[in-house]
Amino acid sequence: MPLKFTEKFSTGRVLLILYCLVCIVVGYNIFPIMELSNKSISRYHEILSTSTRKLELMNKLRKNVNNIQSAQFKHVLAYSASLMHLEEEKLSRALLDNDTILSEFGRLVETKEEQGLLDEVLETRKINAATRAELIRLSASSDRQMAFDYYVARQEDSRIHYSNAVEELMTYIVTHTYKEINATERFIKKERDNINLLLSLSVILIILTGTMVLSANKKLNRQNELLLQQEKKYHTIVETTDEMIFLVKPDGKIAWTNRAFRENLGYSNEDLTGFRFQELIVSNDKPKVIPSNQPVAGIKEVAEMLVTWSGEKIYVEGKVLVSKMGDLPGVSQYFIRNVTDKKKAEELLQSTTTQLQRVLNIFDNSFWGSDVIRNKMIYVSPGNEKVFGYPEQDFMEDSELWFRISAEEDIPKFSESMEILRQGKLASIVFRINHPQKGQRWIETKMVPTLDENNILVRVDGMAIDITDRKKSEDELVQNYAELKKINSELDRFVYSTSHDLRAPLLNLEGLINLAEEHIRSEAEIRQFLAIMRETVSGMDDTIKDILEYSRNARTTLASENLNVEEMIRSAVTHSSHRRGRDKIKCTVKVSQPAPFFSDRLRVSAVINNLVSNAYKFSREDEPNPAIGITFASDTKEGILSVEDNGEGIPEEYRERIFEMFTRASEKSEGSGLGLYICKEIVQRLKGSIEVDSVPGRGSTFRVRIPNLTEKNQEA
Amino acid sequence: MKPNVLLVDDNNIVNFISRKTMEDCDFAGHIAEYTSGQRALKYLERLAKNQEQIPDLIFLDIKMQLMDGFEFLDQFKKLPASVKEKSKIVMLTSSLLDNDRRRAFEHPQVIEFLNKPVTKSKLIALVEKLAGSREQEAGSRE
Repeated sequence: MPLKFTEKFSTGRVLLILYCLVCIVVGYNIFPIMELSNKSISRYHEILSTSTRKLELMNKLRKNVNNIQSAQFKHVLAYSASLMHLEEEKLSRALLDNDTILSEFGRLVETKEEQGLLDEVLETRKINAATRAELIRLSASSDRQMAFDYYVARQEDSRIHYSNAVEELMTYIVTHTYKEINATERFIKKERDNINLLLSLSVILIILTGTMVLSANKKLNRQNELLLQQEKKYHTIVETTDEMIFLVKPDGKIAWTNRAFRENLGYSNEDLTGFRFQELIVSNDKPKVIPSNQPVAGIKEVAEMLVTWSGEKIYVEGKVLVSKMGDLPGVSQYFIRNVTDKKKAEELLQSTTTQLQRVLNIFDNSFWGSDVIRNKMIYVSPGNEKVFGYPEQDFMEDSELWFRISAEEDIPKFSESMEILRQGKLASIVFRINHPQKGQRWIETKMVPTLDENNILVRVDGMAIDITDRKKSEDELVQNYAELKKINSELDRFVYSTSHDLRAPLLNLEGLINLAEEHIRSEAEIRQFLAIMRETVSGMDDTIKDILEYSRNARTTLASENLNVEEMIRSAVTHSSHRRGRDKIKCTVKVSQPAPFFSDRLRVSAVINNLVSNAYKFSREDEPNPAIGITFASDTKEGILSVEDNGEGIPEEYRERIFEMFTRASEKSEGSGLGLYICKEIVQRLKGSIEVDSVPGRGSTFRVRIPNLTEKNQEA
Repeated sequence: MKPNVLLVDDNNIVNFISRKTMEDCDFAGHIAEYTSGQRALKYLERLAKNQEQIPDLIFLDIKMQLMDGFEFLDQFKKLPASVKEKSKIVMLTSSLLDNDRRRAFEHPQVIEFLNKPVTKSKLIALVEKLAGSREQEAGSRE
């Protein structure tokens, strides 16, 4: 049988023990009581027989005393010696009788008091005998009268004494016997009551235990029935389940198997009985979880490969329950399942995964799969560490790690992509992460969804690539594109403007030539035309020079040398002041250059020339004291150039536009419109700044800051 | 009757050439010249009540500093009716762009679009055009 039910403390057993205890208690008490009662009864008999014998003896004694009395009296009255002798014989016979009676009575004396009374009787008898002897002597002496008188005087008296003593003894015997019998009767009665009480108690107990035993028995019967039902049920389950269940004895032999076990292994019950379980296990190099020959008490996991009757190999997995019998191992109950299909699928998956793994390991990209339902990673390829900076294991153990290393502002992208994946579509996101070694990186992830039959997203596989470098070049491309666009539009404007600015002087020349040709002109007129032509040509040349300057700033790299700024300013002033009509403009130059000032000579010089030239150009003719003030102050960090004039000034609305290409903020402007634009471009290139303060009609002040490129500040 | 002329170009060499050419062929009556559109507008404003002196023709450059030709045309609309009705505008520019030409003719006062420099033949053609347009005023309005 597969199961054994053992009950150490059943109700029935308890009741039985209780009953035995009651019996012992009752028995222990009743036997001494009964014994005592028997004793009392025999004592009763003893008292009665002794007392009867005593009273018989006393009665005999009294009768004899009467005989002696009458004999004595006859002796006194007898007239013949023979008669006297006859009476004397009677007397001595009675006395002898009395001796026997008293000696027997003496043996029966029980109390001191009785002994005292007997002694009294013996004493009066002695006195009585003495008087009687005297009487006999007197009677024999024939003095009859004297004998008679003595008799009357003495004998009667002693006789009464004697009879009284006997009476007293008899009275005592009677009263004493009565008392004794009474006491015995009382004792016996008391004991009987006790016995009755005990007996009734025992009866009650017996009834009680009997009832309990009965009810316990009933219960036991019911339990037994239930157990039987359960066992039946258990058997049904055991026999119908696909779980293989079997028992192995401590010696390793199979004791019992269920249907599933036999079917899975192809053995019949008879084949397996006495078979050692060990023999079914296919020896495998891998160590067993549980060596079957050394079971340890408790529940343990087992995973084995077993061989069937037909030699097929099956994988089983499950639990073994090993019971313990004292210190020795008991029967092992195995509950195992056939997992061959699962195992084979696993092996196939394993080998496929290994192949895939080998392929995936080649890439620096991260490949991963995640279980959406359980929010768990299924696999993460080694490339992950390169991409994210954390080993695969970290991602396997912590499914939230992705989010924690991702840039906060990119987190919404994840939920957006999940929405797309839930629709069964591919999703792709680009987000930033905080790489533990490389800092911020751009990651692109492409994801493939897997939906179940209910169209629920269950799994997502993906690939992540570090696209930081690509992104960088993309950003650079965007930046370059913007720059190109700017350059292109500048080029457009440049072409447009140059077409105008270069054509304008040419058209003027054409006009002047027309004028010269179509009319006969005076020499003065011709000279006027020629002067204008010269001015036009020179203006055109300036424009072309400016264009070259602009191009040079845009294309050449920065140079750095120790500059004598004062010299550069004076040279610019000299150049500009030589023009016609500028001699009355007063120019002051102040330079404070305590430390060497390093910068790009050609560029700084272009800025100075442009600003100084503008200051001269835009002086007012109606200003009586036209003046220009130029200062330059530098320290180790930067140099500040300031060019101030009291000329036309710049109207508020044009102040922003003056630094744009081809802007001429004055009707007087004859230049290319490139001067201030070039200044701004150069200053930007030098990482400096340029600003203007101006009041129309009062003058302008241009202020330029240029960083000092001391040796250590220099660009590499 | 020779027209009064106003020359507006920020380059005074252009104005010089235009004036000389007009003088050579006795094209205009009174010739005024300005290198700034703003000052030219102020001049026109001043003449508004003086019907006689309001120029018949304004030669206007497009690419000028501070206020270009188109800005001048926008401001011109705000001038008193006397000026707007009398003065016709001739664009005189180095621009070869169709866009500039189209923009200019959007303004009803603009009657001609000439390329620099001004020449005798261009002025003669202009005179003929002016005469023709006066004859079919109603038609040209359409």
